[in-house]
Amino acid sequence: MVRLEKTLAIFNQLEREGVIGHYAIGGAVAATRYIEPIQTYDLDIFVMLPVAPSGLISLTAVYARLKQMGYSAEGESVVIEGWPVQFLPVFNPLTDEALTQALEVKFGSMPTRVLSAEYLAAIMLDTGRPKDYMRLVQFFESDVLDRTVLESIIVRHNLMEKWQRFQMRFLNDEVG
Amino acid sequence: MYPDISHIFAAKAQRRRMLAALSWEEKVAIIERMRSVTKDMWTEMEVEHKVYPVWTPYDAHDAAVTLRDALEEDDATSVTSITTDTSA
Repeated sequence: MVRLEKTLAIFNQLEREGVIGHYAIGGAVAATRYIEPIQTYDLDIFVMLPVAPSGLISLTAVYARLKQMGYSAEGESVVIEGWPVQFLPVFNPLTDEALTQALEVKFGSMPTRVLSAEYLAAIMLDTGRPKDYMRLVQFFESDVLDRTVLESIIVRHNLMEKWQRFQMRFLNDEVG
Repeated sequence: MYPDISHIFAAKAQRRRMLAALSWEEKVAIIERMRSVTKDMWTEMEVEHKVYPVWTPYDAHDAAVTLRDALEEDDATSVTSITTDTSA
């Protein structure tokens, strides 16, 4: 059994208990569903968090429950069944929509959710670090993107300028 | 004249396609293996004070000279055959 399956079981439990809302796998582990394996040290989990009565969104309750379950924090992540996990509360309309539209899949026998290739691509485009561009180029090389879907996300989230710049630099596409 | 190494790049591209075609579970198992290998290395270095040779640009010139000398000492038949293959 791949260790990640056990990690996902814990997320599903947290969701059932209401400690977290919807979650979906993002980052390198999600990208690996679409392209070749990428070396990574942590697991990015996009998550909806319940809003506290004060109106604040906090990871405190999540960390507290995980501690009860015997999982300890290491720096910015919590190690769950061998995987350092980074919980990323949705932080803008793009990540919010990406989570809402996440794909219901199975990893091994474990039901889970994963961001779609097009939303991952849009997030990489938005984040814009060198490693994001590198990975995005791999998405195009592997021909895993529905370009119509991607471009509709790009337009909806005002990423056109970044998209045009990316195309000119990396795809040799003509930009009108 | 330089050897044609396009077949090396083609093999790399083929390997990448093969890896990309694996199931998600198989690919994550590869990541987990890569993580455990590097983790083991760090543990060994910290606990057992093992030393791993690491390439550094500071040694690049010496390394290049060593490599050149090794190649010159080689019987050069393999290099000749690559060159011949290329011209063919």
